[in-house]
Amino acid sequence: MPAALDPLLQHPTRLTVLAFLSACTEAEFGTVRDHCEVSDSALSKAAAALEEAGYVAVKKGYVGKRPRTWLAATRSGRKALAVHLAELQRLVAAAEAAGAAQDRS
Amino acid sequence: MNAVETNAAEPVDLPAAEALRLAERATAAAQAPGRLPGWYGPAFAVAFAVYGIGVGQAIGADAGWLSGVFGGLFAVMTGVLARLAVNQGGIMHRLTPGLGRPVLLAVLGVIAAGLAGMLLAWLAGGGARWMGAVAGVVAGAAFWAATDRLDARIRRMPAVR
Repeated sequence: MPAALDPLLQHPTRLTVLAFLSACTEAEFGTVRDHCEVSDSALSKAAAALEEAGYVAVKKGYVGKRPRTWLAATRSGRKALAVHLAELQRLVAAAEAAGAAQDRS
Repeated sequence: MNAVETNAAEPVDLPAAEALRLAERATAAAQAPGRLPGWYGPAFAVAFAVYGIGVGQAIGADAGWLSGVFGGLFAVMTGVLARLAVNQGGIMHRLTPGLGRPVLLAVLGVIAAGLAGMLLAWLAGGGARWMGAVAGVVAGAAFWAATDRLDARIRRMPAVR
């Protein structure tokens, strides 16, 4: 794995969740689960791993009497995602260039 | 979007192109504008009207300091309404791409409507009470109309939740 790729973000659920959260200010657990189309437990595990890495902030509260959990990407999470995506784009571009060169030869 | 569900503890060899596709879809999902709740425009219109009437009455009664109190109440009220809308939608958006200009125009429209209302009330010979009340009610109505227009615009955008 290239050095710039973040091993934590090689997991599809964690990558999807961090990309979703990076594109908004914050989102409620159920909203993230529905939009990322993952189960409660998969999202819990992904959020816990991202929180442990400092990529996501988890805030628990209540709306009326209902407990709610809000998730938000931290600054370091947004930065890590940007670096990871840039490296992925570089890899894809390199692969495409190699493929084109092979076609020509 | 469907993030491939796997055991979160296991490393996954995710192809770069697939990872980019997942990230793009997640970003698009988070940025897709959500519709405003139906109560949003009317509730803010009431808040504007109450604020304008309150400030007008305070100034009319030579109690200008009350304007600050009403300003604080207005800020709290609108903050609570905005928070309720976010709680209801489940997501706090960053400014949706493509909506920056309409939102700016809406804000300027509300300010202009309030000032125009105040000017009309003054031209009609109204005192501070009338000027404040008319400015608040007109600004509230303008806000309501602006949210309706924005909501219609959001409805026309692709991938609206």
